[in-house]
Amino acid sequence: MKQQFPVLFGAITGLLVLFASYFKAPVLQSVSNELLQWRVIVAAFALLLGIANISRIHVNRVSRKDQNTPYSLMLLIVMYGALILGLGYGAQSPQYKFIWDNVYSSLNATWYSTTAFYMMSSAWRGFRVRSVQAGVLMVAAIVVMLSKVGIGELVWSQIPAIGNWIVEIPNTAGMRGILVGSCLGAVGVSLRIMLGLERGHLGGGSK
Amino acid sequence: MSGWQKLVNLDVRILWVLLVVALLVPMVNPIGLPLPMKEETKAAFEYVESLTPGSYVLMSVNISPMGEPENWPTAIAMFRHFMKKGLRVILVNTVPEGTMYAERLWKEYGPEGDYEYGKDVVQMPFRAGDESTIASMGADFRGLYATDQYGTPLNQLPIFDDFKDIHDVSLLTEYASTIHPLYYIQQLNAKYNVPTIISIVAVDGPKFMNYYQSGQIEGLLSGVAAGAEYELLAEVPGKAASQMDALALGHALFIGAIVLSNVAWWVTKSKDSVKGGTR
Repeated sequence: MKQQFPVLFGAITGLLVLFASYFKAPVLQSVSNELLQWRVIVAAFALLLGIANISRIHVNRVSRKDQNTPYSLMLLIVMYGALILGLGYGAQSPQYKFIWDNVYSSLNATWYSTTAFYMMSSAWRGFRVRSVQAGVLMVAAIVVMLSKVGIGELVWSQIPAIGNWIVEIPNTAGMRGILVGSCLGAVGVSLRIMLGLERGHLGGGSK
Repeated sequence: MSGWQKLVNLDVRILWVLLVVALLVPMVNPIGLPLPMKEETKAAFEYVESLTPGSYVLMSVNISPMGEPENWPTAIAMFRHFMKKGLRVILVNTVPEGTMYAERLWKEYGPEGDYEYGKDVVQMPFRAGDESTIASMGADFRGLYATDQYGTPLNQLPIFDDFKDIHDVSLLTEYASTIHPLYYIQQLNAKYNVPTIISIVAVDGPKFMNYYQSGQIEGLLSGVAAGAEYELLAEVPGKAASQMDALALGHALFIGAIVLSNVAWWVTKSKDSVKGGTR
């Protein structure tokens, strides 16, 4: 029963939402809409669950007092500090916006910007043309990079056209193949879940 | 140690300094390099041009600080264009960071077009749930959002006077550095035929080219370059165009590094094999 009920519940709700996409029966549509609203509410609860889980992990780490304790402590202070400010003063308050503009936003942008330096290092040290395939990849990468900025047109007037052709024809063909393949895979997994053959999401393996 | 060998073993910190210089100098002294115009940007612009004043635009601002340099200038340029066209803008977001950007958009740039909150532009609150939230926008928009971001019921906001459901939306635009554009394509574009324009970080642009080529979406704005192109087309000067020279020099430096390091590597490798050494 512990396994059967969630499988049955998942199958019924999944099929209802699926059928609502294909049949215009008002009752089916309204049940499907209601289920989608429930999902939004459940997702909001999942955020609370995430806060509880991350708190449990980092409180344990702080109590262990190892070398990572300061980081865990910092995480808890910042997380609850922002939460209290947001709940107490509101997300539009100057206090909350101060944290957003001067801490979160700056750190997030800085962290992402550092990838430019890693890319520079790997461009110099990592990208070695050891085979014909790597050579083709390098030429394609250079042409596409040049085609995206004004400098390409200065090098050779045909660079933008060749770069666009690479993106629009070989790239799109490859992406389309991957997309169709992954969608078919998703359909297969969804059907297995709805039929109760796939139980990985319940904490067990497949049947 | 030969010159080539020294080049192979070059301290990478020198390249980092060169990168900083290549990015900073054009921002201080713009070079004025030509800007190649992409077909998918032109198509996006032309679609917005074809809309009649008063049409509803659902603007999904799923921007985060890390994607800001690439998406934010495009969002501003498009919002300015929407104001020029007199379109009614509904701002939504399905990532929490988007709330701040959506608010900045109407508060900072709305006054330029005399846009009045609640009448010409409105901001919806963040809803968790990713794809399910987007599906709910299509299934029951008013059920998903009982009030706007500031707690005002939708029926008290004049902007919603002619808005019944998702079928009233003439254009959906999504600005993101995540998988969310795919959810919008699946749940609103494919299911309800809502015309869609996607603005995505450059690295993800090729993933969405399929949808543009097949005619499923009306336009694709990839990276800050598309933002610069859009600014030019809509005649709304902004941040993106000023970043293009820096982007071009940065690209040139990367290409130079790849080519030069490979030449140095091949030369040193050849010399070693002539000497009978192995690497």
